[in-house]
Amino acid sequence: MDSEQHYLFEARQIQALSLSVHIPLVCFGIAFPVLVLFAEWRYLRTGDDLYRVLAKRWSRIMLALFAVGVVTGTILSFELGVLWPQWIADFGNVFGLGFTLEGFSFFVEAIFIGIYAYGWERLPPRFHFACGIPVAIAGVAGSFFVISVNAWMNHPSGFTLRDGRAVDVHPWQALFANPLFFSEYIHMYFAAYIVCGFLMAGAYAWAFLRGRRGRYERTALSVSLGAASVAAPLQVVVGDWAARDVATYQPVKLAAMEGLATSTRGAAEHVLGWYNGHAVVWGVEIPRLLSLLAYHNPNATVQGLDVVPLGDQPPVNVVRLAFQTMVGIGTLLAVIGLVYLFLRLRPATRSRALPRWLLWAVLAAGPLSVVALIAGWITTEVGRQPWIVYDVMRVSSAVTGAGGIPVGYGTLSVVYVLLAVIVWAILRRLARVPLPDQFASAASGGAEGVIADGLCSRRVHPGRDGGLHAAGRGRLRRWPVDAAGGRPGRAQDQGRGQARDGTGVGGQPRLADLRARRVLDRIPGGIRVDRLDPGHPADGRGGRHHLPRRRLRAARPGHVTNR
Amino acid sequence: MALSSVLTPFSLGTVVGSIATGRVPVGNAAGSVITSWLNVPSVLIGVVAVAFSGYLAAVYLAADSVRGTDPGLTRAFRARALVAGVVSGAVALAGLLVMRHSGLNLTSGLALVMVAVSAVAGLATVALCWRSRFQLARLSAALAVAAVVAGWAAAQAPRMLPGLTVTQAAAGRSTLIALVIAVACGGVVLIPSLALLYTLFLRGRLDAPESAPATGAERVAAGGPDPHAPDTAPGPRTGGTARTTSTGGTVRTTSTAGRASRAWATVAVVGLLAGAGLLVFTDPVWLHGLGVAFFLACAVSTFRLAHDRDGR
Repeated sequence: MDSEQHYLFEARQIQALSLSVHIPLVCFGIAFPVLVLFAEWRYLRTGDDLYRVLAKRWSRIMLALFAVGVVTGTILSFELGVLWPQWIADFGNVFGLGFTLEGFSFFVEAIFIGIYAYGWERLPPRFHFACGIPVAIAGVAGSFFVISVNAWMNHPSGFTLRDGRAVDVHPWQALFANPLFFSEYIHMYFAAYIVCGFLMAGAYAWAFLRGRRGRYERTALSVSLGAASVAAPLQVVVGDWAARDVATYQPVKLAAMEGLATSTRGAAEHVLGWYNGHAVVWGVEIPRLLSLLAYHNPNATVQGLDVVPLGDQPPVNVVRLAFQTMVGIGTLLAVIGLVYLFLRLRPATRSRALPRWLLWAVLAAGPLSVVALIAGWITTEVGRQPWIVYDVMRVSSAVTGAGGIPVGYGTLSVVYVLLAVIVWAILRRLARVPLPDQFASAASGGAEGVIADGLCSRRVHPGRDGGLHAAGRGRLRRWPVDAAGGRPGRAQDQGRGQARDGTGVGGQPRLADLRARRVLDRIPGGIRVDRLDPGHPADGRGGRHHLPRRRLRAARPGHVTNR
Repeated sequence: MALSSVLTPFSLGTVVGSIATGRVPVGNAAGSVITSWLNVPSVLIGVVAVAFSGYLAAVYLAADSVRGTDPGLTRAFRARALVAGVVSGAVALAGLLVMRHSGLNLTSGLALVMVAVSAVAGLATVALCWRSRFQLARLSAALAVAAVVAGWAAAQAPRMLPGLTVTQAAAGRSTLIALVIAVACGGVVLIPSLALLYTLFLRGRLDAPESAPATGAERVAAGGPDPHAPDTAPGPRTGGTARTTSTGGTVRTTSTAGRASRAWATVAVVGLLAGAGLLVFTDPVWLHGLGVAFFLACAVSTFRLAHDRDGR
């Protein structure tokens, strides 16, 4: 039955790569619409424009990540058929229903995310809010259906096996009456809030650390970090439930997660260490803890890897390392969440600024949560090996017989790198869209208020050709001001020579100097610079050598503020 | 962009061509990875698919451009629709002849009827575009393409792949029933959603300029709150008694708000304890479901308590 495929391992790596790219986006599909809707709901309740701005800006990110998720999800769905055709051929009649339903929830999500993202200020507010609700439901439903298929692969039922194929199929039962499914899904659901929340919070923690602590940043941090912080500690309990389900339904996977070679009564838990083929060495042993955790009985017998032949055992160290990584990071995230909640809920610290070390921890928590997410999926996917359908069909029987897998692997890797670059560029672009003036934060103290003439000090260089340049990170953006006339020779020299900021900001002409030398007078009245520079040297932290670029743009006539 | 818009229908067309001409044998990667789709008939079908896509796009965009203000755009799309219609018809005719020699006969029985329907609809589309009746042209253009696809199915039936009929390839009865139910339920959700989308889109609700938002009067009429004027100080309204208000950095909480906070705190603690108890110490699935519900209640109430509503 095994087909001739020399690149089985590479085929698995392609699948793992594609899943790892897609799953973090799924987290945003599940959790982000709810956070956006929360912000919009606050706006509808209070009329506070800040929440509208927040929801609107986040909905752009949501749309961008959804679009990327469509790309990675499409790649993934093709891979299931292209890489594992025999799996689809023999068992597609059992799990195909899950993908059919997922298809519908995807369509609904696509329709309403479009209406939602483009409907700002074009639809009545409540109607607009209502259009966001299907997005949130479809995000949950889509992942629900897909994970039902994965849970079925881990604990297959609802069919009879005849000549290696599924017959007498009960698809509803197979997918949704699966006891392993619920713990797996809820585990993923909470993970979605942790990943989405901490990644978003990390961005605002970074803004905080760079001195931007305006009301917008504070509210955004409060929403995203709040969501992650309530989910992270609860996830510990949900994870315990999921692990007990694995112990019940996939004992060999549990044995691999714990590196338990032989069935043991009163089994010990090992933290860290390495599995050498017989036992865990160099680890910290906690007697009887594994039995207690898995069966709530310190004397319970835990099945070891030896209950199945060596050929049916998963690669122990990969599974074990992934599991320990997930648990370790998950615990850390839970602690970060509890600290944040403690500071927020205790009256004495409630209105105080968050300590810097916590902001650094939140900044790290974003990427760490993604690592934990991927590690968790490695635990469940590699822990199922060598089976694609647990105890029924091997991965080697499911794989395609076609050649060219290394070519596909290479091509796909390039595609994902390009995609990552595109995502990064889009997110940077969205982050740089200026905030409405009333929410644009000044530097930490907020002392540098709006400059009266509406100009900001953002790298306004006197230019060569009678123009002014707004520059960021070495790039110059030319801005002709021919109307002003005259070559700014004197101002140019002084701008490059003496009028520099004292601290932190290399080579920037000081706004006061520019104004004193009347350089700014050349700027026509119709042109203004959005947002005040938050990184004014008076920040005092001194760490800001690079300032985010701001656009110079013409203000619309009659509009002082630009939304 | 343009490249991928051409590649997508082309690849789809070549795959259709390879299946239609029987070049995909049954089995795990039994056919050639390259030559099964890279051959004259398959490539021709790929070209047909590209031509059809261009033709549909031109007709639909011509119909859409009528809503715009630029008559030049409509003229341009009309010209493209006419050219694409003629080209599509010619390529489709060539495809018909080539396919006949490659094992798929579209010139007899039901397939011929479909081809005739397509031909009539295609000619009608050209005529309607000529007379700038784009709304009707949309329907006839779609019919022309759909009839070709139906003709392909009719000509190939009951064969799916060489040596495999559609009946043999189909899943069992229970799976098919489940799929029909799923598609029906999905349709109940999807069709109104699509109707809403097209209503909003075709009535131009989504292309009003964003800089002209709903006015305050409209918002109030729609039940929405009156937005802050841009020049007023930012901050939440302090309307209800249950809202926390901030005065000069100090927090003053009304007694109603305090009572509400205590209620939320109770929900959070009860949710945490009950949820953890149910999830850790019970086994039945429905009790676990209840535990998850308690956890969600705990999460929502804790989030609400922790959320800094004044954005301090």
